[in-house]
Amino acid sequence: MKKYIFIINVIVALIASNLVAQSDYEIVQNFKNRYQQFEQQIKNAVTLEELNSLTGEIERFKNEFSTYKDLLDKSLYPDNFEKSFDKLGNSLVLRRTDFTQIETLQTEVITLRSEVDELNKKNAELLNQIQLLEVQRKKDAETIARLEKLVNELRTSLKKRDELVYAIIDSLSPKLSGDVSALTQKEKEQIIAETEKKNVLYIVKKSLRDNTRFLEVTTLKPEDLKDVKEQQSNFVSMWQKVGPKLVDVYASRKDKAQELKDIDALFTSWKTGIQREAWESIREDFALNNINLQSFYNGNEFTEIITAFINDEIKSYGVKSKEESQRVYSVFVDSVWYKTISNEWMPYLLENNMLTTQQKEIIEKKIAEWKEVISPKDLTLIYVGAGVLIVLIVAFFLLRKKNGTKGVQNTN
Amino acid sequence: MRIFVALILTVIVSTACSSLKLSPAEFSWPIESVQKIDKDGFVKEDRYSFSFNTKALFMEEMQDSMAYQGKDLRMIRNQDGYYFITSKGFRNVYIFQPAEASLELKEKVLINENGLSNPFFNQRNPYIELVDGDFKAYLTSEGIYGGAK
Repeated sequence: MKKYIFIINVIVALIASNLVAQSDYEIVQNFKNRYQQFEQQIKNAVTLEELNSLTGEIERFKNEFSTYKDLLDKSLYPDNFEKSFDKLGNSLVLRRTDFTQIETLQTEVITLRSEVDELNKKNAELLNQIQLLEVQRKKDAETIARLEKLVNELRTSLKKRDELVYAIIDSLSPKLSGDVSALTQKEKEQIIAETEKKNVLYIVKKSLRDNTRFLEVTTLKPEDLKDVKEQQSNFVSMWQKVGPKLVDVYASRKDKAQELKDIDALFTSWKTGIQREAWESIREDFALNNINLQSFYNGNEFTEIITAFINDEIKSYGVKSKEESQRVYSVFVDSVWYKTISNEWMPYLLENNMLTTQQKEIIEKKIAEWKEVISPKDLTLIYVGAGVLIVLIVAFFLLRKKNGTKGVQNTN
Repeated sequence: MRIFVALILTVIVSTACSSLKLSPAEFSWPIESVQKIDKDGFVKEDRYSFSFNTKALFMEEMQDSMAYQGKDLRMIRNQDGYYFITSKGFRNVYIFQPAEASLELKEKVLINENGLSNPFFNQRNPYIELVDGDFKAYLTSEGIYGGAK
């Protein structure tokens, strides 16, 4: 019986293969290629509709190849026919979850956008108020306190707004996560549409401009600048996730490509603004003590201007009154240099490579030289010595005189 | 007498060992494997983890051991464990059996004096189907089964 079944099987196989002479290898390769295409299409799908249409196509693909199920079961090692389709099904489900998340994110983004708009308005008002107060900063303690309060409020508000902006930028990330150069024109158009809808380029530019303006209208301390630097580096790393990819997506749109270049320029201007702010705040610290220095924007200029100022003071010693020279020295060195610059700014300047140790030493040497002129060490010692000697002589004569008087009284 | 018994026992045991056979065994590949020959003349089959050098095969077929360059080799194994190998431009199908660190030629089957134009193998147990355009033949380890069609 088994022999007959075997012969029948052979005959059926021979007849079947006589009908269509097709390579099994080609069938399997064809299946694998189509399968890979589906995997890629699932990965590249940009809308839920596209994904849904793939579901139908995959079903048709399965039906088409079900004739070869036995062959594919044996050939798709380590998978088999059903397992392969289970995998495709799982990929579809996973990708669908991405889209659900994207939809949720889009809803969140709309809320975020309105919050950003509100914060932008508030920040603009704060910036104007601060600018007005900065003009009359030196007027009274109340104004200064109000100004500080406003600056703090603005700093918090800017930070909050930037966090919202990060969230909006982040919502673009899933679509830009893969290789952008592999995207079709249609996919690129969809990303552009979404970017436009969220007004991403505008809000990023607005944020960068406000952050730069914040530096322009405020006088900050090193610890504040450290915060701003951190905020800037967070913003940069967030933008780097999508910025360069958006440049590729917008390659065909010249106006937008220019806008992306503007954003790069604004980042640079913010970065330079932070350095500039440090130098301006230092100059402001001197100005508050009525020492008006020329502007300086780097370590070399700072060293040159400070040493030139001291040189002038040394030269004019003796020309103007000594009291005036000593007053200037005392204000410059004690009230500004040691109290603010050396204590507060110097670690920041050195840490951020804005000033070298050699430049710091040059200035300190110059200050020591100035001190020598204002109150020379050896003369001071001589004065002190002479003073002590005079006191001793006077005391000696007084004692002697006293003893002499007592002797006369006793004789009497 | 003792020596004689010991000898008989040794013969019985060694005979029993050498006749140990695990059967049935099935070696067939579901589909042929099409492999590119590398620059040194080797083909490597990843799924079945084996490789061999093809220079001698090309020497035999084309009288040029370097003719493998840029060529693909098509191979399939039948249920008995014989390897059927051919390539585009070959006149023959080569049937090999595994040997110690080598493949040993079992049969060389002439198919087309002018060379095969686009050959492929299919597994059609117990045969290996060879198709080249309109030509079709069923092969066993002995050669063509029932003549070509």
